[in-house]
Amino acid sequence: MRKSTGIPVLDDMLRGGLEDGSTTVLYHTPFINGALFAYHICHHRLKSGDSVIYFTNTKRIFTIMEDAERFGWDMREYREIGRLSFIDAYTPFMGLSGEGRYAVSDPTNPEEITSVLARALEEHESGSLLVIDSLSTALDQCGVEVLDKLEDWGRLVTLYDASLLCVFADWGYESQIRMRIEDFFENMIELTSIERNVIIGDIFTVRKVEGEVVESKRVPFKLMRPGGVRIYIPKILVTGPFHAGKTSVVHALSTRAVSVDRESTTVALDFGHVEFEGFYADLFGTTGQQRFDPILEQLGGEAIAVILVVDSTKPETFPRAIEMLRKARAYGLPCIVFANKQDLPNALSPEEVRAKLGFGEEVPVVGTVATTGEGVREGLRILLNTIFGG
Amino acid sequence: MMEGKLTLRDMLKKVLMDLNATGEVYASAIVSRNGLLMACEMPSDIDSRTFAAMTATMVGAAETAFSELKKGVAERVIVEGREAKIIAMGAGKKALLVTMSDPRANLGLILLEMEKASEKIRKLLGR
Repeated sequence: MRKSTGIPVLDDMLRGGLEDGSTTVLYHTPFINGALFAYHICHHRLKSGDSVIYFTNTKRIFTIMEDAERFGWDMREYREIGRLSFIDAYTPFMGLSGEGRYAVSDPTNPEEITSVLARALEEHESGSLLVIDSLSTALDQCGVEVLDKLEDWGRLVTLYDASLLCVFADWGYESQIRMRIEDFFENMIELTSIERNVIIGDIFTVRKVEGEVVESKRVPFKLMRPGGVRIYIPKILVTGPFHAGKTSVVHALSTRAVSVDRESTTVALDFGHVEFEGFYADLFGTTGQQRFDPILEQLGGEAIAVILVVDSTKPETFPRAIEMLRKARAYGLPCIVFANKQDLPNALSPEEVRAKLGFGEEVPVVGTVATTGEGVREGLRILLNTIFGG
Repeated sequence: MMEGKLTLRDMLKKVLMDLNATGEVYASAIVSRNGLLMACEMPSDIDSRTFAAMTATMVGAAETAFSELKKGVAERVIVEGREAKIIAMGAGKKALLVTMSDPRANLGLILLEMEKASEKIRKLLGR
C-alpha cells in the first residue's frame, strides 16, 4: 500500500507515495536541512494513523521535537500514546545514557544498531515508518560497514511491512559511496540548491522510483514556518490590458497582497503571496497602461508562469494583451488566460476569447469574475497543473 | 569530511552581514532587478519578498523617469522617511543592493560601505 508523504507533487513523482516494505533515501547537500523533509513526512504519517520510529544520531530528542514544533508539527501527543518512538543514538555517543524509548549504547556498532531497529520494528504495528537520521552520520561513526547492514534493514522493513526512510547528507564522500547508496535504495529523493541567473533557491527531485532510475522535474521549494515543505514559485506574472481586472485577480488569489495604486489604477505593481493546496507562490501584477511599459519590461523577467487577464467584453484590447506578453518576455511560458468579467451581459465565452486571442488548445482559458473570486482558484489550479503535473 | 565550500547564497549573506555590522545599516537585501529576493538580512517582521518586489519597482520607475530626462543613468534611489531611510543602488547588471537605516545615520558613510558591498556582489554574481 502506498502512503502519502504529505508533500505535494512529491507524491505524484513517487507514483503515489512510499510503499510499505520500500526503502527510500533523502539525499541532500549539507546546506539544506534534509531532516525537515523527514519531519514533514513523519508528521503526515502520524496524522494519518501510522506509527513512526525515529532513529537519531545527530540531535537530542527534545531538539527534534522543538524544531518540528516550530514548523507547526506538534508531535508530543503521538509520543505520549506510543505511536512515535525514538531510538537515541546521540546522547550515548556523548557518554550519556539514552533518552528515547530505545537507545543504542554503542552508536559505532552497526550490529547493535541493527538489533535495536529490529526490536523497535517488532514492537510497533505493521505499516510504520522507520526514519534513520542520519545515515551519513552513521557512516562517519561506524565506517562503511554500516552500509553492509542496509540489506538487513531492507529485509526488516519487508518483514514488518514498514518503510525505511534514510536521511543522507552528502558531505563530499567518495563516488563509490554515492553509488552504493544509489544502488541500494528503491526510491531516491534528492534535495539540492540551484543558483541559476538570479534564481537562488532549493529544489527537490526524484532520481529513482521503485528501483527504476527516472528523470524527474526539479521542483522548487521553501520551508515555511508553519507549514513545512511548500512548493515555491518565486514569480507568477499577472498581466493584461488596462482595466482587465489584474489587481482584483491578485487580491482574490492572495493571502496577503499589497498594491501601489492611484484612483483604482495600478501605477507600479500589485504583489501578493499565494498559499494554495501546499503551493506557495508570489504574484507580480503589472500595470496595464502603455505608459508604464518600461516597468512591465523590467519586472516581467524570470517569471515561471503567466496569468493573462482580459476583459471578456472588450475584444478590441486583445492585441494589446498579446503585446504585453511579448514585452514582459513571457511568451512561451506556461500560461493561462482568465477571461474576466463573465458576469457582464455581453461577455464573450472563454472559447470565443481563445479564438479571438488566436491561441491554440494548449493554452487553457477559464471564465472568471475576479471581483467575486469566481473561477480564479480553479484557474490557478490548472496553471499549477501545467507547471508541475503530468 | 566537510568541504569548506560556501554556496553563493552564503556568500551573499555574508556580504550583507558585514554591511549590517558596520553599524549604520540595520537591514539589507540583494534583489534582482526584476524583483526577486536573492538574499537578505532583515528583522523577521519585515516581509522581505514584498520589500524586494517594491524596491525593484521603485528603482525601475526612478531609472525610467531619469532616462526620460536624458541625463544619463540613475545611480541610486534614496527614500527618506521620519523613521527610516531606504537606499537602493545597482550591484552589477542584474542585481540591486538595498539597505534600511536610521534616518539620522551618516549618509556618506552608508554610501561608501554600500559601494564596497555592491562591488563585491557584482564580482560574486560574475557580472
